[in-house]
Amino acid sequence: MNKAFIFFGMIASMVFGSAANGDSVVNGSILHLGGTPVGQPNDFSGGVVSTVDHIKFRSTRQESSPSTFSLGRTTQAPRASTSTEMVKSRSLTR
Amino acid sequence: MIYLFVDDGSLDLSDYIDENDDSGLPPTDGSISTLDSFLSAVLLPGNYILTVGGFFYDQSDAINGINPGTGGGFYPNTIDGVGGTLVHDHGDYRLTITGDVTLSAVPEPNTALLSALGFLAFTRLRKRAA
Repeated sequence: MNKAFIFFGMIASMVFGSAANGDSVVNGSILHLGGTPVGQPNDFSGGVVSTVDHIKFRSTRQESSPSTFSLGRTTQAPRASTSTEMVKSRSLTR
Repeated sequence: MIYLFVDDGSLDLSDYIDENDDSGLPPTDGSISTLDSFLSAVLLPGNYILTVGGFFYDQSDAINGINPGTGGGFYPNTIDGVGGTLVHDHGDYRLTITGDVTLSAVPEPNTALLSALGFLAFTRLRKRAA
């Protein structure tokens, strides 16, 4: 049984342990919930509803220099200093 | 467009810290346009929430997690815009955070459920074999 706990502990750590200090990257998507279908020509006059993702994080110490938050596209090459990537889960029901 | 809030367990307007729509900065680190968002803040130790959505959504929309698209027009060029061209406000994004921060791991619900079911099945098989 100990082997089973070790095995699933390893899996759980991979699933839940996507945390890191220093520079961190979150990948996600903004999804349409209604209105103009994805891929159609622009028509956003009808009150298109889209998601707002919540990225939770913890500041671990009082910083002398500011934290920065940069929004970009995943199609761009990541910085060399980036050490961790995490695919954020998202809910289609909200 | 991004908003920064304190995460005290009950997200409301009093938790608001700062926001940004257009950085106005030269594109770096995944950014392709000065319309991409950028924030800089000195943070005390504690928990925070950064919200990511397309222009325009207000603080209440950020808290609710829904951009109703009613905030004086809907100009979806924050994420997919190239050179200010209006294109669809959807698609993949990357948010890069620098500083002494730890991301809160949010497992995919299906992955967590499958892992739990697999563990239960495994332990049941082990009991039968014993």
